[in-house]
Amino acid sequence: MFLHVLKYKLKEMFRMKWALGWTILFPIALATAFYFGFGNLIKESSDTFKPVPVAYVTEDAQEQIDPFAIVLKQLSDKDAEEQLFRLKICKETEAKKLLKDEKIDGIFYGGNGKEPALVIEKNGMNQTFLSQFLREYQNKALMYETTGELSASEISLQTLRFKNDPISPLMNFFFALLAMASLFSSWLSVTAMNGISAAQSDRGKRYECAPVPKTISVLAAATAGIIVQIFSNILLVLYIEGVLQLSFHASFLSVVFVTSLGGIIGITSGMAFSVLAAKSETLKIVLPLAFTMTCSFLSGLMVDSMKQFVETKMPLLNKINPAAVMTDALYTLGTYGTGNRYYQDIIIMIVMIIVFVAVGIAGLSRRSYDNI
Amino acid sequence: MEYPIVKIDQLVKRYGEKIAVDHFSLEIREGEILGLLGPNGSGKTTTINCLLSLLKYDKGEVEVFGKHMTPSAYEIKKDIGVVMQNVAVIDEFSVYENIDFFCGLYITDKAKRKELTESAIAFAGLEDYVKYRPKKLSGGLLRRLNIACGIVHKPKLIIFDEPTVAVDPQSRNAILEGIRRLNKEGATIIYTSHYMEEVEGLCSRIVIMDRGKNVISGTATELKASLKNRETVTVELKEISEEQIWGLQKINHVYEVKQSGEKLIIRCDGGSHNLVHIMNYLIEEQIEFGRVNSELPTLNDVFLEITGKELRD
Repeated sequence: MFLHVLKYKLKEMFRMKWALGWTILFPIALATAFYFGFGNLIKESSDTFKPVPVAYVTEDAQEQIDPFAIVLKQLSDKDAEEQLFRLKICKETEAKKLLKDEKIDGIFYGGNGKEPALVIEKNGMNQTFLSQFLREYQNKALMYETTGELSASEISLQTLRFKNDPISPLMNFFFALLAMASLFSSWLSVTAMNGISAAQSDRGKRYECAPVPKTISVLAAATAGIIVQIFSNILLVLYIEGVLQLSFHASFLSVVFVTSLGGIIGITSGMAFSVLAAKSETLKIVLPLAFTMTCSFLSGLMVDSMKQFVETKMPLLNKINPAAVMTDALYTLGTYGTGNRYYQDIIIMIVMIIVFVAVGIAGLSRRSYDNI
Repeated sequence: MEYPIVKIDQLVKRYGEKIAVDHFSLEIREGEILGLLGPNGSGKTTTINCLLSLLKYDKGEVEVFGKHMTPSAYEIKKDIGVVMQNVAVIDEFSVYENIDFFCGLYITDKAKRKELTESAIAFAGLEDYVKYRPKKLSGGLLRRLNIACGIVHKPKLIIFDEPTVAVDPQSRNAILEGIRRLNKEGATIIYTSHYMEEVEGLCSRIVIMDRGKNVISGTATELKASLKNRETVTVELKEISEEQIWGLQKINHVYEVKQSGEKLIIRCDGGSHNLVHIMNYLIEEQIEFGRVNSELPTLNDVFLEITGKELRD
């Protein structure tokens, strides 16, 4: 029965022209537009990455033994193959002046056993890069300390294994685009659920008269949506990497894995929306669309510094915004590989899926209604 | 079969303060074609939704094939077919795929499914349209596809909810013939409609619902016999005196005589040869008259007398 419903749901979805347009063609068209907007900048920046100017302020001037300072210095070595920073170690007043004069993009604080911290004056790509670097350092340092593998003083560039080919911050537009494409599947999902619930359509009414357990129906419809979305994501990733020649700085499969999780979030959130909007045809369209566009906007689809802005003002929002988590996972993957922070993002996405599935199943598995 | 195919006992369904079905009871025996009539909002569709366990109800008991009906009573559901009032098919599938899809929800064996799908296509006369998408079909063909999707698995109980709305006379005739055929093949039918002549010609028993209640039930003849007015005789004439009208009222079984312009309307409450008695009286009294017409009550008269003539929502 599951396979019968799955087969026909797939047929139905692949024949829905509007769905294919929004799921496959629209993201490809948007990717093309982004490419013409700043594709060359991305390509150039990956060839000619410019180290980010940053200051390091330490109260006790003990940077010689401060592990964070050591890592910063290693990553600022002009002779090194992969220089990430142009580092200036100085007093706080001087650092603040440099920041004000826009000679540097941020100030790192540390030393004296304190947690490293970052101060920035404005939002931008370099500032995003500094912030994400610090977060990754803290995550890894915490992991090494927790596991007892290495003490804080033993942490070095080698143990942190930062990737030495930094990804262009402009790629964040494409990450946000992938997130948007994935979350768009919530719309597809709402449509799929519509056809199997008596409370939502005449088709659903006929469907629920049949001797098919509701869980099987919901799972088959969701699986079909996920397959369509993964297919669409693969096409988009292939298009960006193969046709537009923009690199995600990560293996194809790992990018597809992250986007697939995003697609599953889209589909499962659609299940939840179809429960919430059961009686309103308008809400069925508005809810997934508003959800997708709001999440994508906050993750930097339209304004590149938006995610950083949210990070400084409401960091929790970036943790519960699926698009932000997904772009973060893709950025982390491309910049640092599969580190702590990457796994943290993956776990957050899995938790989101579980929550949406719980809401969706609880609402959709009803087989008898108060009103239809 | 000892038990009724459907047994609804004291069913009550409320929507907030409004009572949609009010202690409704009904039994349907095997092989019956039961016509369920009622004005808009009388509770027909709500009753059917409760019978199918799609709607929760507040009180009462619903049994189908002698078993308690629940949302997960799959053994019962596999023998029920539903033809919805609105066409409920999938636009992205062809005629064949639509029928095959709904058949597959009931039948897992592929060979059997193919056989049943082809049989339903032939039943609905859709052989020439198997590859068409619903949007390419006319209203009548769409209705036939809707029916084919509902009966493809050869159910023992089929519910038709106004299946002939907005179809041409030819398609309507084909649909009604098809329902008779399904009944002859052994299916028990519940049929709701607003077309009285359809119900009268098709159904072996009729239930009239109003305000959620089972107001009256019986064969069409029994329902008509329940009316006081059993025959209406209309006579065209120029003039008639008060005494002559009074004389007409004295004829056996005549209970009302009304003059409306140049028409005299005489209502009788039973008896036989009423027309002959009335015409004999007119001739004896040397009253000049034109056309004379005699009408027996229709199911529509029964319906209007029971449910009233005021407009409903």
